[in-house]
Amino acid sequence: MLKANFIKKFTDFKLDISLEVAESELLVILGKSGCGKSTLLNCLAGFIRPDVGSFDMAGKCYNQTENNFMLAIHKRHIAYIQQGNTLFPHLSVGENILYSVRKKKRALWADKYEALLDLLDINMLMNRSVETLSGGQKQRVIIARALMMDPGLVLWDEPFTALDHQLREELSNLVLALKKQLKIPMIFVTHDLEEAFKMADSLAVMHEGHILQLDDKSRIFNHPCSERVAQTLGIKNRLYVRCMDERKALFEHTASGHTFEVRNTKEYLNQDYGHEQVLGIRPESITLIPSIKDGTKTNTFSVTLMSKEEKLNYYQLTIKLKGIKDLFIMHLPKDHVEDMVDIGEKMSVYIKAKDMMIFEK
Amino acid sequence: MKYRKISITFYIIVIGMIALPLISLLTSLFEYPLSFTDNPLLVEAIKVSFKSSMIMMVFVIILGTPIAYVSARLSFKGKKLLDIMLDLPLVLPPAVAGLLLLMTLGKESFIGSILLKLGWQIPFSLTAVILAQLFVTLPVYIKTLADGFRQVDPLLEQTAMTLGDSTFQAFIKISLPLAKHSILTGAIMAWARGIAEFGATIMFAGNMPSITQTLPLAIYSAMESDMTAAMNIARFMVIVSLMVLLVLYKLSSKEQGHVKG
Repeated sequence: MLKANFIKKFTDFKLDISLEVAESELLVILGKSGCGKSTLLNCLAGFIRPDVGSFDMAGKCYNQTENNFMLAIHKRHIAYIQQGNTLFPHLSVGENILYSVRKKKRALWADKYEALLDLLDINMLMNRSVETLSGGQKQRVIIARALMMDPGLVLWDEPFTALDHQLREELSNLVLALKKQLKIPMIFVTHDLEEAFKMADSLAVMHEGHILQLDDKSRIFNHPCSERVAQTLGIKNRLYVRCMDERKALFEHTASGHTFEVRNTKEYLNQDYGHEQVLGIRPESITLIPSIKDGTKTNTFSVTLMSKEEKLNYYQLTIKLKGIKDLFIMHLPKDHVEDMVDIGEKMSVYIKAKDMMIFEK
Repeated sequence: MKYRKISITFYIIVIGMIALPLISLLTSLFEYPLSFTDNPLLVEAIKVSFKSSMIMMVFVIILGTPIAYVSARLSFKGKKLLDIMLDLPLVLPPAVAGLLLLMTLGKESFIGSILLKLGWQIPFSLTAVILAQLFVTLPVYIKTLADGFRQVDPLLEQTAMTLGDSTFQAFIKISLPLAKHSILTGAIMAWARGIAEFGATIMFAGNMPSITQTLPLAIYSAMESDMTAAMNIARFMVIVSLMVLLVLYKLSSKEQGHVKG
């Protein structure tokens, strides 16, 4: 189990976090650029000394500011895979991979070395110069080099950002396979929502140096604790509502009076009547239905199509609900394109009660 | 088009300004015949110049390498001022540099008088030649190498540290090999600057044959009595300079520093 809590003040930024990662768990940290994700990893790796805090893992202390203790970076055995090409250009691929193993002890590590080369499928690259490798091969060698030292923790700082989509897919699958095999804690930092969902066992959403929510990935995706978390998780449609009927879980939009039945409130629901909360709807949760009269059926609405944009697998539509100032975004699968009306015309939409979520502002 | 013509004209004029003295050095062969061996002044000056410059280079590398690294990597309060101080010998007239060294380490100075009591007279000795050369060449080496260290991605050193290297090991195993071209270039440029040193040396070390008389000082002395010797020393220095240039060109074509991504 990894337990860390750090406070680090900079001139215009403060990192204040507390986190726990279980053995063989992959924690994904999601947040926009500049939210402190890399600073947190630098604290864990030992490049930044926190003002206050402690960090211990598997019974070993890495940091204890109370006792002014900070384990040196080179004694931590924490693999840190950062963005970009960090291979040593003056060494061959083989020398890069064996960098952490002292020359005299290399014979003892031969089995692990061979196993890693097989696992990462890089046997053929050993005598090549690193400059001649492709982007994907470089990343594989970087991963092999990091794992060769038998790390107690692996930190990934947006390692595949600069790569193309296919390569990212391939390498993220590799990380998942490694996680299964190595059974060590990993912390993976990204700002890519899809990547985060794919990789995570648990997920932490960071904003301005704080972890806003840390939870199991399904729980956090279905029950964001605040509007900021929802925004980070790509819940684009958000409107302010008040609870009208606790038993039926009916919510009323404050400004327009539209009512929504929500069956996904769980413990985040503040049932006090009159307390303003946020209703979140994912674009893919809004579906087109045959024309009906507004309000005749629960969660059905008559909307005006404002714009449409063709994406790879769907149309992104911007729709306006009468009386609501903010526009809604919905995704229409391409096989439903015949149901779409012209821009400016009215159509009917339905939002499933279990796909809507309530959270605090 | 007109601008291009003017530029080409200037280019030819400047090349001519450099080439003409070299040509005259060749045409002077009729008047002052070539003789490198039968020239005791040249032989002694070569000995002094090479001995002093080689010792100077040892100090330049030992002192300059860590300073260049600090200059490239660290930032702290007052560092800009220290960087300006380091660059000062580059713009200071060499004669002034020599005078300042004399004021600092001469017999009358505080440090000089203590050293003299300990039986060590620095001015007008080979040590003074070395110090004068060191004073003017150290910034050349530091500047070149600091630029080289800046080209090495700091992420590589950090990665080496996460892989088990201490800061010093990462410096030795990563930064130094990746900056090796800059080390060589800086060392050659510093050596070339040191061997050509005149002003600071004559002020601080004097012009004593076989003791402090370096090649440029030997030309200066020979001009008064033996023009053939002066011309031959000059020819020797031109050959050395051309060799230095050739090595530098060779190095720069091989340069493959790891540039920050």
